[in-house]
Amino acid sequence: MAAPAPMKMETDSESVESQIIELVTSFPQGVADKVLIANMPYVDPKARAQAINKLLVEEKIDLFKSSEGLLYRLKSPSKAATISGDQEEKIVFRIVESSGNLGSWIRDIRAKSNLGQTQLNKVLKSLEGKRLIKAVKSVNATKKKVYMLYNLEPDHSVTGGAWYSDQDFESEFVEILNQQCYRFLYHKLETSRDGSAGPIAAKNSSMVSTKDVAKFITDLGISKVALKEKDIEAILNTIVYDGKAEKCEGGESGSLYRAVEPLLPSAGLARCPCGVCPVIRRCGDKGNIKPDTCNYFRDWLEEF
Amino acid sequence: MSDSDPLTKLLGQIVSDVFGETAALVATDIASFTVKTFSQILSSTSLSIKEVRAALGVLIQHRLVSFSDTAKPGKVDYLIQTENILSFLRYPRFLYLVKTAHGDEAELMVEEIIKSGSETATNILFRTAKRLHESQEVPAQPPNISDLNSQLVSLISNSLIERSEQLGQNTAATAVLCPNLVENKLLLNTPVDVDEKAISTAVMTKCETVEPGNDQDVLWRLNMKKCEQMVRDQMIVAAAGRRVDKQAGLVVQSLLRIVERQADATVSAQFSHQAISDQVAADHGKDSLAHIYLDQYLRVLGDDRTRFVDRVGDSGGGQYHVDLKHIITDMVEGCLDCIILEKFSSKAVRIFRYIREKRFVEEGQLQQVVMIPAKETKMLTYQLLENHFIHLQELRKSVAPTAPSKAFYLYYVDLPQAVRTCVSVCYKAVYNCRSRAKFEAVEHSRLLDKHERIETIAASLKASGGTEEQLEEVAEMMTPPEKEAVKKIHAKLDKLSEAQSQADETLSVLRLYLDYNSMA
Repeated sequence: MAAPAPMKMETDSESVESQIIELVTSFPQGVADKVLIANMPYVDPKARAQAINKLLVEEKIDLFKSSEGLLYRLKSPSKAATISGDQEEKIVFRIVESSGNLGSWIRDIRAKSNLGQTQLNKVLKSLEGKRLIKAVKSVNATKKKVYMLYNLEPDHSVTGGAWYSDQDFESEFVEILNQQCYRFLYHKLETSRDGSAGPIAAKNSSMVSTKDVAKFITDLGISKVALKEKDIEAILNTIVYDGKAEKCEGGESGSLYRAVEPLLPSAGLARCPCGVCPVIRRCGDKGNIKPDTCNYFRDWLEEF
Repeated sequence: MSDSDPLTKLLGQIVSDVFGETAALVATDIASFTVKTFSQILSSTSLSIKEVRAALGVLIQHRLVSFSDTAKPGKVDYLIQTENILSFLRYPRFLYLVKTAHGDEAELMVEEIIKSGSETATNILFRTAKRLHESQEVPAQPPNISDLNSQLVSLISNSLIERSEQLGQNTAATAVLCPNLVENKLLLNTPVDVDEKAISTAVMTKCETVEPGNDQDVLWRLNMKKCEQMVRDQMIVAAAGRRVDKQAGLVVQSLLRIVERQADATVSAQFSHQAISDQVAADHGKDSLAHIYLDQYLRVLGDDRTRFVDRVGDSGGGQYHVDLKHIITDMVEGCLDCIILEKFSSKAVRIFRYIREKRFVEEGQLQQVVMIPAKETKMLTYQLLENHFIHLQELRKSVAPTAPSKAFYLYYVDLPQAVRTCVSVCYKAVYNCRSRAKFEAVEHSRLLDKHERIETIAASLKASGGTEEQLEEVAEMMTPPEKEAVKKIHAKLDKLSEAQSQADETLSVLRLYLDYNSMA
């Protein structure tokens, strides 16, 4: 029996690689090892293994293990291949990249990459030095740092959105917005009272929608940041919780708001010094804190 | 004494101011136990039998203590009537209400009744007439008794004054230690005939007392419930006026008049649109804006968060009812918000209201919504927690107590509890104001006494026709700085009494809420 002539082995590695890539591209869900072999029978197994290894290093394909054996899948081009750095840096970079603009916490990176603490720190420092990733402080937990790609905008949940600037809650800004919105609503309420077309008409004319308020605020121009409708709604909600406004169900354009007067102008108890006394619980007949010698009483009675 | 709760101390103080020390001792003693028998009072106050008997007599006459022997027949229990004692604080306001509603003479009559607890009609009329007669500058015609009588009758028909309980029949022939008092519901508001002529002659001749007439057995007393109802209605009308506008306040007034005529309940019975329309027309006229826009006002009042009126059916042009409990709850919430506002800050109010709306709130979530810096939010929340306005609810994640398992801590508002805390603060505040007033009076007693003496001398000089010089001499007995000081002291005392009545106002709203809460 004549031995079949040894087939011409393709040892040209580049063409092997390009064939493999073609194959993997045409099967985006992955190519099993057996399929690979079947499609390239003339390739020397050693050469094939070499080509596959090279592609893996260049990160053009990914190696998975499925129930039937090994699976190769095309990898979306990642910047990881382009950076100069060793394997660990590439792994860490890929993990950081995958977390998008939420960023990943150092513990997560460690879990995913299985690197040691000190080594990971070194890698992160070098990547930061190369300006490939950056650390962003999370506003929820001040000690926590998340890493994300250098040029990405951190997500709102991390920085807090329009209300935070450099991790500081801009309380004055919020206060000013609060006051302005309330003034707008109150002004509407007052003008509605002057009308004499009956109570329902008066009530309707005192209502404003979120859009009106947003327009008013942007016209005022007190905000450096462009405020979205959701932000304005958050401010309006705080006014509702202050008890100065109420929310009504509107028609098409979402909810309407109107200013309201509180039911009681002020509580009688608060007009007496005891009502607002911080040590009322320790006040009694004996001891230092007595009504007869109370400082608060004295000051209150002195002022005329 | 210093260990007793604020309420007992306040009751004791009020009784001692009006009736003296002995009565106060007895009252405090009963109050600290709510119910006591005679022998118990004797042993714990260590007063003599005569004293205790006299004190009890006075307290019972003014209905501050009531007695019954239903618990143990043969042994009489004495119960303290807290409401009646606290109503002493409210008498000034009630008198003002009566004056605005019924006139000066009616006010005098009510004052006479308050002074003596309960009185016969003859005595009331006599004493009122006497006061009017005496206060007139020039002794002129005596006041018309029949006018006074008709005023009295109108007070009775408005149920401001009602008949006291009368002595019921003894069931057994044996002597009974404890008299049986029966309330005659049918005759509660029917007036009696009085001998007007006899009273008139008595006044003319400046007698001290008047002959007891036919109505000797019928005693009249002030109906506290009605007074409180009037105050409550006034508050609700004012709130509606603020919320919507003045005309809405008038509509609510008419609604409350309809509710008055029904039985006492937290939610009124239904009434039709026609009834409302008639009432508004009767109260405010057919041309008033309230009547013209009645439908609209009813809509607006119903849509409002406070739900001043609810539409419950469509028959007969619309059926409505008034949910008093809900209105009072809303007002109490507003009251608590005001107190927190003054005590802490407006940011604390925001936090409190948010927790109240959302029932159960986690700490982290809180900060996001209220838009206050995290540190400040935490501090204010803990301050509110310390003062019992909000409470903490723990939800464990796992049952094992050993592991440091994460438990959820949620904040919530227990409204009755917060109200009770405020009520206790109110008691303390009223007590302190009165205490301080007494202290100030005692400290400056020399000055005040001097001032009073001078005033009386000047008045008697004027009455007996003194000359200008004499009056001037008297006036100069006090130096200007002294006069200034006296004025200052008077202003201080006024301020204290004003503060007292304002604290009492808050107290009445809060107590009303607690009553309604326990009723339904």
